[in-house]
Amino acid sequence: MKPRERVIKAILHEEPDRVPLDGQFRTEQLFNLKRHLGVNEDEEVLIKLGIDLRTVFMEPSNEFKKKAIPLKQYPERWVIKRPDGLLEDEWGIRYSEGATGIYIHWVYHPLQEKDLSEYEFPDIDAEGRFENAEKNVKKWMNIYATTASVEMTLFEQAWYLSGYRNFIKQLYENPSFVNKLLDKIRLFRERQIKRFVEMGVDIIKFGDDVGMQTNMMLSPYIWRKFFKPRMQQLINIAKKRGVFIYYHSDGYIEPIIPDLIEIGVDILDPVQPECMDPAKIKKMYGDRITLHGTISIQETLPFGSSDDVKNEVLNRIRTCAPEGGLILGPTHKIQIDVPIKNIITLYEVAKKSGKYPIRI
Amino acid sequence: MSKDILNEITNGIVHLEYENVKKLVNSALEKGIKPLDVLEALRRGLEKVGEKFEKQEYFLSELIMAGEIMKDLLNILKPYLLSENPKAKGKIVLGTILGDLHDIGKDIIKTLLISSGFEVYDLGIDVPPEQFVEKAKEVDADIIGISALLSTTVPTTAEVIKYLEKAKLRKKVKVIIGGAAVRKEHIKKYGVDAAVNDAMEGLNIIKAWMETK
Repeated sequence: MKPRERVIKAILHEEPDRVPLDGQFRTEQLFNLKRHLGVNEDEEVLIKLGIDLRTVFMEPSNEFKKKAIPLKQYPERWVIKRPDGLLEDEWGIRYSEGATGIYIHWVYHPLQEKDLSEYEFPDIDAEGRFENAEKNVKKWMNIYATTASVEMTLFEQAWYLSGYRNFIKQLYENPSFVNKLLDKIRLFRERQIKRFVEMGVDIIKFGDDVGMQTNMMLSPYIWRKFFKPRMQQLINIAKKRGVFIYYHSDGYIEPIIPDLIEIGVDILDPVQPECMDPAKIKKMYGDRITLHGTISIQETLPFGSSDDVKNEVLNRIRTCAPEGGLILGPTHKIQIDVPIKNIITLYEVAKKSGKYPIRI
Repeated sequence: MSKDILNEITNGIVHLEYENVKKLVNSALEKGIKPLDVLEALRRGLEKVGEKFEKQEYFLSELIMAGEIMKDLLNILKPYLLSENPKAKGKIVLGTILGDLHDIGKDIIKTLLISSGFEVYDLGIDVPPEQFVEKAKEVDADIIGISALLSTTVPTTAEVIKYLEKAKLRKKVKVIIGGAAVRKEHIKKYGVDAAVNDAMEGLNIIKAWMETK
């Protein structure tokens, strides 16, 4: 069975030949994996591990790329190195690298100084933005399930532009500003989604982190008021063309899962086991939504033994794989503290024991 | 009369009525109500918001909003409070450990600590271990609070303990670590006094420490 068919069957809640697999890795881990597996290309790592999905991204314009470099922490994001040492992206958002250089931090938001009416969004039709995505979709489309990232969909892009605490404050104090900003972002995302849909991708990846470890960042009331209706509009564009909808939010978001299902989300990522019990989510909503991720990146993968990883994978297959609806993988991009043997165990055990019909 | 207006201030914070609370605070001060009583009414409001957050009736956005209201109102109150400096329940140096750039968790506990009457010295994010100890020494702190969201950064908390021992402050200063990646076994592993991944639990531990001090 081709990876694409495997993934689509799972999303349609049918049982394919085995549980489909996904995964993303930090650049350092990709390097380690290439060395460990004796291969040269990133793509070969994905093939060896049995990953069934491929993701494409929107990029900055060619003009911006001429003066920028890809961020080493997130190569799909490009930045200019400013004389003051800060990094600036195409939106005018500035980052600083932490002292260890492993992560970046948002330090400047253009709408802190500029009025929204004076702020210009990047030109979505500029050359260079979708060429690589198009090429990759063509390359992968008949083999893998192709997914296009439209992450940082609304909430995250809004706070990147206006500052986190400031944006939260505006949600309560200045709904007119919030509505204007979110509509502007929504129109940009609409055009982004249309481009990806025209390329023929299978899945659109939406994403806004609104969860924390045990509670939500945004109150469900606020989320329903400002974000749900706009998400619905964006989802409709893709759904009309038969594209599946994936939604990512780290952490605990149980209060809005029924809302996400209602507006047409097909795949929920990452269902962190420390925050939401995957078996419980499967029991409650498993006939209407596909679980994506579910293997602990906070605990088992970095700190557990190979046996711990094996047990978690088996447990997840047993409780969440029957009748399809599971795409297994780590609950976030694999970080540098995960031992290679745990990564290999995750994929080897899943390939071996994830064969349908499930007999664990 | 003064009790009514103070109750209204507390309820205003609980219901996140920014403009209303601002008006009430100004009018209370004009009426000659003691600034310390106004501060206490605000603190009670923030404490109730914290309790609602713990019960999941409120979410982070509400906690942040209440914290923002409190911050602005403290600026109004500050000139009145200079003459009546209330004694803090304890001094705590707070920061997110080196390599970790997350500040939401740290800001949650900061809001809760301020609402409980602690004096908080916030070092921000990506804080080198020695800086926690230098600041603790400088302000004569009772507690160091270290925040870490990432599994990759929690181990660095052990460095803070080493610097504390070197400065001969380990017996005097209690150390608590908190954050999504923090586990109970880290108490023994890194030599800290408490490890939590829930802000309210952290606050209760800190309060208990200060009560028995």
